[in-house]
Amino acid sequence: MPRPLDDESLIRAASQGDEQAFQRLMDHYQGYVFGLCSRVCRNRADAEEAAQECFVSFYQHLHRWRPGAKLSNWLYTIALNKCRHLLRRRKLRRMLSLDFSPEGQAPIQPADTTWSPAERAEQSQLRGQLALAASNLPAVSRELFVLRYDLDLEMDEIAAITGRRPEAVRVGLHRARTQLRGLLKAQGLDVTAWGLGDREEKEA
Amino acid sequence: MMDDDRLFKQRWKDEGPSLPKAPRDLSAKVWGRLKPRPRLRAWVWRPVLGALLLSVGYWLGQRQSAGQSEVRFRLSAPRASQVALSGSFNGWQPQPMHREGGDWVLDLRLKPGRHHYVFVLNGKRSLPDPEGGDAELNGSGEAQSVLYLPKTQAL
Repeated sequence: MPRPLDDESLIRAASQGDEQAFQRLMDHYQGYVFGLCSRVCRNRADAEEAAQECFVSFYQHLHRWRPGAKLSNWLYTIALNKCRHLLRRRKLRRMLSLDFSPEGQAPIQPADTTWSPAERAEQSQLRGQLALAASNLPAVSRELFVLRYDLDLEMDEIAAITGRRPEAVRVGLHRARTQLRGLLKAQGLDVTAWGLGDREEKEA
Repeated sequence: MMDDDRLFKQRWKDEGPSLPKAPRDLSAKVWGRLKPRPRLRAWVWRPVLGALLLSVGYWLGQRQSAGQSEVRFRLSAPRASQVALSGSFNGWQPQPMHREGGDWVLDLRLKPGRHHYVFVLNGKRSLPDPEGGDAELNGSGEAQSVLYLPKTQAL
């Protein structure tokens, strides 16, 4: 969970040209920002690009900081917008190359290239399966999923970051969980063993 | 729905994959984009440019004056109160001469070629150079002295 301590004074110092203060902010938040970008973009190069653009934009708009606002949420909003922009660009490129396969119906495949080989080796088989399923979620579900379950944000925070109503976020998250279970089942993973299968079947 | 959400949250925290780590050079790349290339500071290039412009100006000035010749105009008129020089080189605008003993003199730098001139005494009377060589009549029939300056070798 990002720590809001001292953010305000660091931002004030950074906006007055203190590069060390900005470096400290980057050091603290780059993991979360890159994590968000990598989950949404599913591609290490795009995630890096989006994270860089996020911090560049953050630096250029430091003067717009409103004291009292939560910096992490501001950064996530910027990062998400950068990711969406990159995904739109990628989609347009795909359309121009006459490949019309909709992203949501993409076949289950190791789409996520955000882990380095060493990190991939560290993931257990179950974690690997979960990561694969999460990376195959549709774009909107991926956004909500990473904000809620990876970055541990509250519903109203997610609503503010994604520009959706809180109720729409709840519904979207429910859909994302259902989609994830479907993907896990399709991967041959026993969802019941994960403690979620019965509940989902009852709801269905 | 919320129970499922909480349960899922706990499960994901316990068993879900961790977020990929940010590359080590991420912040360096951000700085690279924020400071593309160090620009040449104004206090460095301004004096250099100034010195360069001065040098070019001096060189052009030298080049222009290189072919010119120093000419001293002299008129002996001890009783005149005011003498000026008027010629083709100054647009026939009378240029005051100064007294040196009983003579009136004026030093000018002139380009090579043919120049016409007269002395203007007391602001009224035009007089060709009594010691000058050639004289020609202008359209109004007034005499003008002629000065021919040959080309000199440029420096």
